[in-house]
Amino acid sequence: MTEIHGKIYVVAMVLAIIFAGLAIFLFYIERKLDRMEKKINEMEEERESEKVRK
Amino acid sequence: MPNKTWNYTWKIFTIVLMLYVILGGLLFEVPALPVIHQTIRNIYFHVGMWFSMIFILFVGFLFSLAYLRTFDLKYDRMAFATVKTGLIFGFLGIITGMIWAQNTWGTYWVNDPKLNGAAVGILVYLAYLILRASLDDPEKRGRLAAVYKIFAFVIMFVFIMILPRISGPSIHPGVDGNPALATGDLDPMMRRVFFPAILGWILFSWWIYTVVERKDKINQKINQLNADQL
Amino acid sequence: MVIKEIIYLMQKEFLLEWRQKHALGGIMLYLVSTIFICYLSFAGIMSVPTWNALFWIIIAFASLNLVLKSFADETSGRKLYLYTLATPSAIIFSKILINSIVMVVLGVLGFILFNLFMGNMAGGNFTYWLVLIIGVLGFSSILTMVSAIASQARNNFTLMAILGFPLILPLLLLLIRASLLAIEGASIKSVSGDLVVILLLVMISLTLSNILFPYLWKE
Repeated sequence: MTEIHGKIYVVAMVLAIIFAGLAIFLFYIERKLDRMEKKINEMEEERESEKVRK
Repeated sequence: MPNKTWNYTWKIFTIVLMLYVILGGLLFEVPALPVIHQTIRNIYFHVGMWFSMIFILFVGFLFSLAYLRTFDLKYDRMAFATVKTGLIFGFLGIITGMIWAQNTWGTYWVNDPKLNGAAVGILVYLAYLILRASLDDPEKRGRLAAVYKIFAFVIMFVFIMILPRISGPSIHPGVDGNPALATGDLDPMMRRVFFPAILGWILFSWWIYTVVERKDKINQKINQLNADQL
Repeated sequence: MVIKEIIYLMQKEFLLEWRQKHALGGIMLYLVSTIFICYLSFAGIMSVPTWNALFWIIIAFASLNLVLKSFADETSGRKLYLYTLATPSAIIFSKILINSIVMVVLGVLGFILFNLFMGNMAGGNFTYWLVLIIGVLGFSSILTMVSAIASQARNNFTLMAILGFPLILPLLLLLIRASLLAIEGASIKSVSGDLVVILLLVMISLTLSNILFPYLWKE
Protein backbone atom coordinates (compact mmCIF):
# COMPACT_ATOMS: atom_id res chain seq x y z
CA MET A 1 0.00 0.00 0.00
CA THR A 2 2.73 2.43 0.92
CA GLU A 3 4.47 1.71 -2.35
CA ILE A 4 1.57 3.08 -4.35
CA HIS A 5 0.73 5.93 -2.09
CA GLY A 6 4.14 7.07 -0.96
CA LYS A 7 3.47 8.01 2.70
CA ILE A 8 0.05 9.40 1.84
CA TYR A 9 -1.09 7.98 5.18
CA VAL A 10 0.67 10.88 6.88
CA VAL A 11 -1.53 13.33 4.99
CA ALA A 12 -4.59 11.24 5.82
CA MET A 13 -3.69 11.39 9.52
CA VAL A 14 -3.14 15.13 9.39
CA LEU A 15 -6.51 15.68 7.71
CA ALA A 16 -8.24 13.38 10.19
CA ILE A 17 -6.74 15.29 13.11
CA ILE A 18 -7.74 18.63 11.60
CA PHE A 19 -11.29 17.41 11.13
CA ALA A 20 -11.44 16.00 14.65
CA GLY A 21 -10.12 19.28 16.00
CA LEU A 22 -12.77 21.27 14.17
CA ALA A 23 -15.48 18.89 15.39
CA ILE A 24 -14.34 19.32 18.98
CA PHE A 25 -14.37 23.07 18.44
CA LEU A 26 -17.98 22.77 17.24
CA PHE A 27 -18.86 20.93 20.44
CA TYR A 28 -17.19 23.70 22.41
CA ILE A 29 -19.24 26.37 20.59
CA GLU A 30 -22.39 24.39 21.24
CA ARG A 31 -21.62 24.27 24.96
CA LYS A 32 -21.32 28.06 24.90
CA LEU A 33 -24.61 28.31 23.05
CA ASP A 34 -26.23 26.07 25.67
CA ARG A 35 -25.08 28.41 28.39
CA MET A 36 -26.28 31.48 26.51
CA GLU A 37 -29.67 29.94 25.90
CA LYS A 38 -30.02 29.13 29.58
CA LYS A 39 -29.08 32.65 30.60
CA ILE A 40 -31.51 34.21 28.15
CA ASN A 41 -34.31 31.97 29.35
CA GLU A 42 -33.60 33.04 32.92
CA MET A 43 -33.65 36.69 31.89
CA GLU A 44 -36.94 36.21 30.11
CA GLU A 45 -38.49 34.56 33.13
CA GLU A 46 -37.28 37.42 35.29
CA ARG A 47 -38.91 39.89 32.94
CA GLU A 48 -42.14 37.95 33.05
CA SER A 49 -42.23 37.85 36.83
CA GLU A 50 -41.47 41.60 36.98
CA LYS A 51 -44.39 42.27 34.69
CA VAL A 52 -46.63 40.12 36.85
CA ARG A 53 -45.55 42.01 39.98
CA LYS A 54 -46.37 45.30 38.34
CA MET B 1 -32.24 12.68 29.45
CA PRO B 2 -32.55 10.48 26.35
CA ASN B 3 -32.86 13.57 24.21
CA LYS B 4 -29.44 14.78 25.24
CA THR B 5 -27.84 11.36 24.76
CA TRP B 6 -29.28 11.15 21.27
CA ASN B 7 -27.99 14.62 20.58
CA TYR B 8 -24.46 13.49 21.37
CA THR B 9 -24.80 10.09 19.72
CA TRP B 10 -25.53 11.30 16.22
CA LYS B 11 -22.79 13.90 16.35
CA ILE B 12 -20.21 11.34 17.48
CA PHE B 13 -21.51 9.04 14.74
CA THR B 14 -21.00 11.84 12.21
CA ILE B 15 -17.45 12.41 13.37
CA VAL B 16 -16.60 8.71 13.21
CA LEU B 17 -18.13 8.47 9.76
CA MET B 18 -16.18 11.48 8.53
CA LEU B 19 -12.93 10.15 9.97
CA TYR B 20 -13.58 6.88 8.12
CA VAL B 21 -14.26 8.86 4.94
CA ILE B 22 -11.09 10.92 5.26
CA LEU B 23 -8.86 7.93 6.02
CA GLY B 24 -10.58 5.54 3.61
CA GLY B 25 -10.91 8.18 0.94
CA LEU B 26 -7.18 8.80 0.92
CA LEU B 27 -5.88 5.29 1.60
CA PHE B 28 -8.19 2.76 -0.07
CA GLU B 29 -7.46 1.57 -3.58
CA VAL B 30 -9.05 3.47 -6.43
CA PRO B 31 -9.31 2.32 -10.04
CA ALA B 32 -6.59 3.61 -12.34
CA LEU B 33 -8.15 6.14 -14.68
CA PRO B 34 -6.60 8.24 -17.42
CA VAL B 35 -6.30 12.03 -16.90
CA ILE B 36 -8.06 11.99 -13.54
CA HIS B 37 -5.64 9.57 -11.84
CA GLN B 38 -5.67 9.93 -8.07
CA THR B 39 -7.90 13.00 -8.17
CA ILE B 40 -10.89 10.66 -8.42
CA ARG B 41 -10.68 10.67 -4.64
CA ASN B 42 -12.09 14.20 -4.80
CA ILE B 43 -15.43 12.61 -5.47
CA TYR B 44 -15.73 11.85 -1.75
CA PHE B 45 -15.23 15.48 -0.83
CA HIS B 46 -16.28 17.75 -3.69
CA VAL B 47 -19.51 15.88 -4.41
CA GLY B 48 -20.24 15.79 -0.68
CA MET B 49 -20.36 19.59 -0.71
CA TRP B 50 -23.07 19.55 -3.37
CA PHE B 51 -25.14 16.95 -1.61
CA SER B 52 -24.96 18.90 1.63
CA MET B 53 -25.93 22.11 -0.09
CA ILE B 54 -28.88 20.56 -1.91
CA PHE B 55 -30.04 18.80 1.22
CA ILE B 56 -29.85 21.93 3.36
CA LEU B 57 -31.54 24.09 0.73
CA PHE B 58 -34.31 21.55 0.29
CA VAL B 59 -34.94 21.59 4.03
CA GLY B 60 -34.98 25.39 3.79
CA PHE B 61 -37.61 25.16 1.07
CA LEU B 62 -39.78 23.11 3.44
CA PHE B 63 -39.26 25.70 6.20
CA SER B 64 -40.38 28.45 3.84
CA LEU B 65 -43.52 26.50 3.01
CA ALA B 66 -44.10 26.02 6.73
CA TYR B 67 -43.72 29.76 7.27
CA LEU B 68 -46.35 30.61 4.68
CA ARG B 69 -48.73 28.11 6.27
CA THR B 70 -48.31 29.22 9.87
CA PHE B 71 -46.72 32.70 9.81
CA ASP B 72 -44.66 31.58 12.76
CA LEU B 73 -41.44 33.62 12.72
CA LYS B 74 -39.59 30.58 14.01
CA TYR B 75 -39.76 29.03 10.54
CA ASP B 76 -38.53 32.21 8.91
CA ARG B 77 -35.48 32.17 11.16
CA MET B 78 -34.87 28.53 10.33
CA ALA B 79 -35.22 29.17 6.60
CA PHE B 80 -32.74 32.03 6.85
CA ALA B 81 -30.25 29.82 8.69
CA THR B 82 -30.48 27.14 5.98
CA VAL B 83 -29.59 29.72 3.34
CA LYS B 84 -26.53 30.86 5.28
CA THR B 85 -25.37 27.28 5.76
CA GLY B 86 -26.22 26.24 2.22
CA LEU B 87 -24.21 29.12 0.80
CA ILE B 88 -21.11 28.08 2.74
CA PHE B 89 -21.31 24.59 1.28
CA GLY B 90 -22.15 25.98 -2.15
CA PHE B 91 -19.06 28.18 -2.22
CA LEU B 92 -16.88 25.33 -0.98
CA GLY B 93 -18.36 23.14 -3.73
CA ILE B 94 -17.64 25.72 -6.41
CA ILE B 95 -14.09 26.40 -5.23
CA THR B 96 -13.18 22.71 -4.90
CA GLY B 97 -14.78 22.05 -8.27
CA MET B 98 -12.75 24.82 -9.90
CA ILE B 99 -9.50 23.48 -8.49
CA TRP B 100 -10.35 19.98 -9.65
CA ALA B 101 -11.40 21.17 -13.09
CA GLN B 102 -8.25 23.23 -13.58
CA ASN B 103 -6.09 20.21 -12.83
CA THR B 104 -7.94 17.69 -14.96
CA TRP B 105 -9.83 19.52 -17.70
CA GLY B 106 -7.30 22.36 -17.86
CA THR B 107 -9.76 25.16 -17.22
CA TYR B 108 -11.45 26.59 -14.15
CA TRP B 109 -14.89 26.75 -15.65
CA VAL B 110 -16.62 24.90 -18.44
CA ASN B 111 -19.89 26.02 -19.95
CA ASP B 112 -21.88 23.10 -18.67
CA PRO B 113 -25.48 22.93 -17.45
CA LYS B 114 -24.43 21.48 -14.13
CA LEU B 115 -21.91 24.19 -13.35
CA ASN B 116 -24.24 26.89 -14.57
CA GLY B 117 -27.02 25.42 -12.45
CA ALA B 118 -24.79 25.61 -9.41
CA ALA B 119 -23.83 29.21 -10.17
CA VAL B 120 -27.46 30.19 -10.66
CA GLY B 121 -28.35 28.55 -7.36
CA ILE B 122 -25.74 30.56 -5.52
CA LEU B 123 -26.86 33.79 -7.22
CA VAL B 124 -30.47 33.10 -6.21
CA TYR B 125 -29.55 32.64 -2.58
CA LEU B 126 -27.34 35.73 -2.56
CA ALA B 127 -30.30 37.62 -4.00
CA TYR B 128 -32.39 36.20 -1.16
CA LEU B 129 -29.96 37.74 1.34
CA ILE B 130 -30.20 41.12 -0.40
CA LEU B 131 -34.00 40.91 -0.45
CA ARG B 132 -34.03 40.28 3.28
CA ALA B 133 -31.62 43.12 3.91
CA SER B 134 -33.87 45.60 2.15
CA LEU B 135 -36.92 44.94 4.29
CA ASP B 136 -37.39 45.97 7.90
CA ASP B 137 -40.68 44.62 9.12
CA PRO B 138 -40.03 41.00 10.25
CA GLU B 139 -43.44 39.70 9.24
CA LYS B 140 -43.29 41.23 5.76
CA ARG B 141 -39.66 40.27 5.33
CA GLY B 142 -40.44 36.67 6.16
CA ARG B 143 -43.37 36.63 3.80
CA LEU B 144 -41.59 38.10 0.78
CA ALA B 145 -38.45 36.09 1.38
CA ALA B 146 -40.44 32.86 1.63
CA VAL B 147 -42.36 33.63 -1.55
CA TYR B 148 -39.18 34.36 -3.48
CA LYS B 149 -37.44 31.31 -2.09
CA ILE B 150 -40.24 28.94 -3.06
CA PHE B 151 -40.62 30.48 -6.51
CA ALA B 152 -36.89 30.42 -7.18
CA PHE B 153 -36.36 26.95 -5.75
CA VAL B 154 -38.96 25.33 -7.98
CA ILE B 155 -37.75 27.09 -11.12
CA MET B 156 -34.14 26.23 -10.31
CA PHE B 157 -35.09 22.64 -9.66
CA VAL B 158 -36.64 22.43 -13.11
CA PHE B 159 -33.53 23.85 -14.72
CA ILE B 160 -31.12 21.65 -12.86
CA MET B 161 -33.14 18.51 -13.51
CA ILE B 162 -34.23 19.10 -17.09
CA LEU B 163 -31.46 21.11 -18.69
CA PRO B 164 -28.72 18.44 -18.53
CA ARG B 165 -31.07 15.88 -20.04
CA ILE B 166 -31.82 17.82 -23.16
CA SER B 167 -28.56 19.59 -23.75
CA GLY B 168 -26.60 16.59 -24.93
CA PRO B 169 -23.28 15.15 -23.79
CA SER B 170 -21.55 16.92 -20.97
CA ILE B 171 -18.00 16.77 -19.72
CA HIS B 172 -19.24 16.66 -16.14
CA PRO B 173 -20.14 13.18 -14.84
CA GLY B 174 -23.67 12.20 -13.87
CA VAL B 175 -25.38 13.26 -17.07
CA ASP B 176 -28.49 11.17 -16.55
CA GLY B 177 -30.23 14.11 -14.94
CA ASN B 178 -29.09 13.24 -11.47
CA PRO B 179 -26.68 16.00 -10.58
CA ALA B 180 -23.22 14.89 -9.57
CA LEU B 181 -24.16 11.35 -8.66
CA ALA B 182 -22.87 8.86 -11.18
CA THR B 183 -23.52 5.65 -9.31
CA GLY B 184 -23.92 3.72 -12.53
CA ASP B 185 -20.29 4.04 -13.45
CA LEU B 186 -18.89 4.34 -9.95
CA ASP B 187 -16.47 1.58 -9.18
CA PRO B 188 -17.76 -0.83 -6.50
CA MET B 189 -14.49 -0.32 -4.63
CA MET B 190 -15.31 3.35 -4.33
CA ARG B 191 -18.88 2.89 -3.22
CA ARG B 192 -17.81 1.73 0.23
CA VAL B 193 -16.43 5.19 0.83
CA PHE B 194 -18.73 7.22 -1.42
CA PHE B 195 -22.05 6.41 0.27
CA PRO B 196 -20.75 6.91 3.82
CA ALA B 197 -19.18 10.14 2.57
CA ILE B 198 -22.52 11.47 1.34
CA LEU B 199 -24.27 10.53 4.57
CA GLY B 200 -21.43 11.96 6.65
CA TRP B 201 -21.40 15.29 4.82
CA ILE B 202 -25.16 15.63 5.01
CA LEU B 203 -25.16 14.98 8.76
CA PHE B 204 -22.26 17.35 9.19
CA SER B 205 -24.00 20.12 7.26
CA TRP B 206 -27.11 19.60 9.37
CA TRP B 207 -24.98 19.97 12.49
CA ILE B 208 -23.56 23.26 11.23
CA TYR B 209 -27.06 24.41 10.40
CA THR B 210 -28.28 23.75 13.95
CA VAL B 211 -25.41 25.81 15.34
CA VAL B 212 -26.18 28.72 12.99
CA GLU B 213 -29.86 28.54 13.83
CA ARG B 214 -29.25 28.56 17.58
CA LYS B 215 -26.92 31.52 17.24
CA ASP B 216 -29.62 33.41 15.32
CA LYS B 217 -32.22 32.49 17.91
CA ILE B 218 -30.10 33.81 20.74
CA ASN B 219 -29.41 36.98 18.79
CA GLN B 220 -33.10 37.47 18.20
CA LYS B 221 -33.94 37.01 21.86
CA ILE B 222 -31.25 39.45 22.95
CA ASN B 223 -32.66 42.03 20.54
CA GLN B 224 -36.12 41.40 21.90
CA LEU B 225 -34.98 41.82 25.51
CA ASN B 226 -33.23 45.05 24.61
CA ALA B 227 -36.31 46.31 22.85
CA ASP B 228 -38.52 45.48 25.84
CA GLN B 229 -36.22 47.43 28.10
CA LEU B 230 -36.68 50.64 26.12
CA MET C 1 -66.01 34.46 -13.21
CA VAL C 2 -62.26 34.74 -12.85
CA ILE C 3 -61.93 35.06 -16.60
CA LYS C 4 -64.38 37.93 -16.58
CA GLU C 5 -62.37 39.61 -13.86
CA ILE C 6 -59.18 39.10 -15.80
CA ILE C 7 -60.73 40.70 -18.85
CA TYR C 8 -61.93 43.71 -16.85
CA LEU C 9 -58.56 44.12 -15.20
CA MET C 10 -56.82 43.89 -18.55
CA GLN C 11 -59.05 46.61 -19.95
CA LYS C 12 -58.07 48.77 -17.00
CA GLU C 13 -54.39 47.99 -17.61
CA PHE C 14 -54.67 48.81 -21.29
CA LEU C 15 -56.33 52.09 -20.47
CA LEU C 16 -53.60 52.94 -17.98
CA GLU C 17 -50.86 51.98 -20.41
CA TRP C 18 -52.52 54.09 -23.06
CA ARG C 19 -52.80 57.04 -20.75
CA GLN C 20 -49.13 56.67 -19.83
CA LYS C 21 -47.85 56.39 -23.36
CA HIS C 22 -44.66 58.10 -22.31
CA ALA C 23 -43.69 55.09 -20.18
CA LEU C 24 -44.07 52.70 -23.08
CA GLY C 25 -42.35 55.21 -25.31
CA GLY C 26 -39.53 55.28 -22.80
CA ILE C 27 -39.01 51.55 -23.13
CA MET C 28 -39.12 51.84 -26.92
CA LEU C 29 -36.53 54.57 -26.82
CA TYR C 30 -34.44 52.44 -24.50
CA LEU C 31 -34.56 49.64 -27.05
CA VAL C 32 -33.69 51.92 -29.94
CA SER C 33 -30.79 53.58 -28.19
CA THR C 34 -29.33 50.29 -26.95
CA ILE C 35 -29.49 48.85 -30.44
CA PHE C 36 -27.91 52.00 -31.85
CA ILE C 37 -25.10 51.85 -29.30
CA CYS C 38 -24.49 48.22 -30.22
CA TYR C 39 -24.51 49.16 -33.89
CA LEU C 40 -21.82 51.75 -33.32
CA SER C 41 -19.66 49.72 -30.97
CA PHE C 42 -19.87 46.35 -32.67
CA ALA C 43 -19.33 47.65 -36.21
CA GLY C 44 -17.19 45.25 -38.18
CA ILE C 45 -16.68 42.66 -35.45
CA MET C 46 -20.09 41.06 -35.64
CA SER C 47 -20.36 37.30 -36.07
CA VAL C 48 -23.57 35.31 -36.06
CA PRO C 49 -23.25 33.98 -32.48
CA THR C 50 -22.42 37.47 -31.19
CA TRP C 51 -25.34 38.93 -33.09
CA ASN C 52 -27.65 36.38 -31.55
CA ALA C 53 -26.34 36.67 -27.99
CA LEU C 54 -26.47 40.46 -28.14
CA PHE C 55 -30.05 40.43 -29.30
CA TRP C 56 -31.16 38.25 -26.42
CA ILE C 57 -29.29 40.28 -23.85
CA ILE C 58 -30.98 43.43 -25.11
CA ILE C 59 -34.36 41.73 -24.97
CA ALA C 60 -33.67 40.48 -21.44
CA PHE C 61 -32.85 43.99 -20.22
CA ALA C 62 -35.82 45.49 -22.00
CA SER C 63 -38.18 42.98 -20.41
CA LEU C 64 -36.67 43.67 -17.01
CA ASN C 65 -37.34 47.37 -17.51
CA LEU C 66 -40.83 46.82 -18.78
CA VAL C 67 -41.99 44.36 -16.15
CA LEU C 68 -40.45 46.41 -13.36
CA LYS C 69 -43.09 49.08 -13.64
CA SER C 70 -46.05 46.74 -13.69
CA PHE C 71 -46.40 46.89 -9.93
CA ALA C 72 -44.45 50.05 -9.22
CA ASP C 73 -47.40 52.15 -10.38
CA GLU C 74 -49.81 50.67 -7.91
CA THR C 75 -50.22 53.12 -5.09
CA SER C 76 -51.36 51.70 -1.78
CA GLY C 77 -54.79 53.25 -2.17
CA ARG C 78 -55.31 51.71 -5.56
CA LYS C 79 -54.01 48.41 -4.23
CA LEU C 80 -56.62 48.38 -1.51
CA TYR C 81 -59.32 49.25 -4.01
CA LEU C 82 -58.22 46.42 -6.33
CA TYR C 83 -58.02 44.04 -3.42
CA THR C 84 -61.63 44.60 -2.46
CA LEU C 85 -62.79 44.20 -6.05
CA ALA C 86 -60.80 41.35 -7.55
CA THR C 87 -59.34 38.03 -6.55
CA PRO C 88 -55.54 37.80 -6.34
CA SER C 89 -55.47 35.18 -9.11
CA ALA C 90 -57.23 37.55 -11.47
CA ILE C 91 -54.82 40.35 -10.61
CA ILE C 92 -51.65 38.38 -11.18
CA PHE C 93 -52.94 36.68 -14.33
CA SER C 94 -54.03 39.98 -15.83
CA LYS C 95 -50.61 41.44 -15.07
CA ILE C 96 -48.82 38.47 -16.61
CA LEU C 97 -51.04 38.60 -19.69
CA ILE C 98 -50.63 42.30 -20.21
CA ASN C 99 -46.86 42.03 -19.77
CA SER C 100 -46.77 39.15 -22.21
CA ILE C 101 -48.71 41.07 -24.84
CA VAL C 102 -46.59 44.18 -24.49
CA MET C 103 -43.44 42.06 -24.43
CA VAL C 104 -44.39 40.26 -27.64
CA VAL C 105 -44.95 43.61 -29.35
CA LEU C 106 -41.70 44.94 -27.96
CA GLY C 107 -39.82 41.77 -28.90
CA VAL C 108 -41.08 41.88 -32.48
CA LEU C 109 -40.30 45.59 -32.85
CA GLY C 110 -36.91 45.06 -31.28
CA PHE C 111 -36.20 42.18 -33.62
CA ILE C 112 -37.11 44.22 -36.67
CA LEU C 113 -35.00 47.15 -35.51
CA PHE C 114 -32.13 44.85 -34.66
CA ASN C 115 -32.26 43.33 -38.13
CA LEU C 116 -32.29 46.80 -39.67
CA PHE C 117 -29.27 48.04 -37.80
CA MET C 118 -27.16 44.98 -37.25
CA GLY C 119 -27.64 43.20 -40.53
CA ASN C 120 -30.42 40.85 -41.48
CA MET C 121 -29.35 37.48 -40.20
CA ALA C 122 -32.62 35.83 -39.30
CA GLY C 123 -35.27 38.09 -40.80
CA GLY C 124 -37.56 35.66 -42.54
CA ASN C 125 -36.77 32.64 -40.40
CA PHE C 126 -40.00 31.17 -39.05
CA THR C 127 -38.30 29.01 -36.42
CA TYR C 128 -36.50 32.07 -35.07
CA TRP C 129 -39.76 33.96 -34.77
CA LEU C 130 -41.29 31.08 -32.87
CA VAL C 131 -38.35 30.93 -30.47
CA LEU C 132 -38.57 34.69 -30.05
CA ILE C 133 -42.25 34.71 -29.13
CA ILE C 134 -42.08 31.75 -26.78
CA GLY C 135 -38.92 33.11 -25.18
CA VAL C 136 -40.53 36.47 -24.53
CA LEU C 137 -43.48 34.73 -22.90
CA GLY C 138 -41.00 32.95 -20.64
CA PHE C 139 -39.43 36.26 -19.60
CA SER C 140 -42.71 37.94 -18.83
CA SER C 141 -44.19 35.05 -16.86
CA ILE C 142 -41.14 34.64 -14.64
CA LEU C 143 -40.41 38.32 -14.20
CA THR C 144 -43.94 39.44 -13.35
CA MET C 145 -43.85 37.52 -10.09
CA VAL C 146 -40.37 38.83 -9.31
CA SER C 147 -41.64 42.34 -9.95
CA ALA C 148 -44.50 41.74 -7.54
CA ILE C 149 -41.97 40.81 -4.86
CA ALA C 150 -39.53 43.62 -5.64
CA SER C 151 -42.23 46.28 -5.68
CA GLN C 152 -42.86 45.72 -1.99
CA ALA C 153 -39.27 46.43 -1.00
CA ARG C 154 -36.96 49.41 -1.12
CA ASN C 155 -34.50 49.92 -4.04
CA ASN C 156 -36.79 48.20 -6.33
CA PHE C 157 -34.88 48.50 -9.55
CA THR C 158 -31.66 47.05 -8.20
CA LEU C 159 -33.59 44.43 -6.34
CA MET C 160 -35.57 43.51 -9.43
CA ALA C 161 -32.36 42.94 -11.39
CA ILE C 162 -30.75 40.95 -8.58
CA LEU C 163 -33.80 38.78 -7.98
CA GLY C 164 -34.69 38.36 -11.63
CA PHE C 165 -31.39 37.69 -13.34
CA PRO C 166 -30.52 34.37 -11.77
CA LEU C 167 -34.00 33.14 -12.65
CA ILE C 168 -33.92 34.19 -16.30
CA LEU C 169 -30.28 33.33 -16.86
CA PRO C 170 -30.86 29.63 -17.63
CA LEU C 171 -33.78 30.64 -19.83
CA LEU C 172 -31.46 33.02 -21.65
CA LEU C 173 -28.91 30.26 -22.23
CA LEU C 174 -31.60 27.98 -23.55
CA LEU C 175 -32.93 30.67 -25.88
CA ILE C 176 -29.52 31.64 -27.22
CA ARG C 177 -28.84 28.01 -28.03
CA ALA C 178 -32.20 27.36 -29.65
CA SER C 179 -32.18 30.56 -31.69
CA LEU C 180 -28.65 29.91 -32.90
CA LEU C 181 -29.85 26.55 -34.14
CA ALA C 182 -32.70 28.35 -35.86
CA ILE C 183 -30.32 30.73 -37.64
CA GLU C 184 -28.27 27.79 -38.81
CA GLY C 185 -31.41 26.56 -40.51
CA ALA C 186 -32.57 23.88 -38.11
CA SER C 187 -36.17 22.74 -38.40
CA ILE C 188 -38.75 23.37 -35.71
CA LYS C 189 -38.44 19.76 -34.69
CA SER C 190 -34.84 20.12 -33.60
CA VAL C 191 -35.57 23.04 -31.29
CA SER C 192 -38.85 21.60 -30.04
CA GLY C 193 -37.17 20.10 -26.96
CA ASP C 194 -36.02 23.53 -25.83
CA LEU C 195 -39.36 25.11 -26.64
CA VAL C 196 -41.21 22.48 -24.61
CA VAL C 197 -38.96 23.18 -21.63
CA ILE C 198 -39.67 26.90 -21.92
CA LEU C 199 -43.41 26.30 -22.16
CA LEU C 200 -43.17 24.01 -19.16
CA LEU C 201 -41.45 26.82 -17.27
CA VAL C 202 -44.20 29.21 -18.28
CA MET C 203 -46.80 26.77 -16.94
CA ILE C 204 -44.86 26.27 -13.70
CA SER C 205 -44.39 29.96 -13.10
CA LEU C 206 -48.08 30.58 -13.77
CA THR C 207 -49.04 27.91 -11.25
CA LEU C 208 -46.59 29.21 -8.67
CA SER C 209 -47.72 32.79 -9.22
CA ASN C 210 -51.28 31.72 -8.69
CA ILE C 211 -50.41 29.96 -5.44
CA LEU C 212 -47.94 32.47 -4.05
CA PHE C 213 -49.36 35.82 -5.12
CA PRO C 214 -52.08 35.94 -2.44
CA TYR C 215 -49.32 35.89 0.19
CA LEU C 216 -47.76 39.00 -1.33
CA TRP C 217 -51.00 40.82 -1.68
CA LYS C 218 -52.36 40.53 1.82
CA GLU C 219 -51.36 43.41 4.02
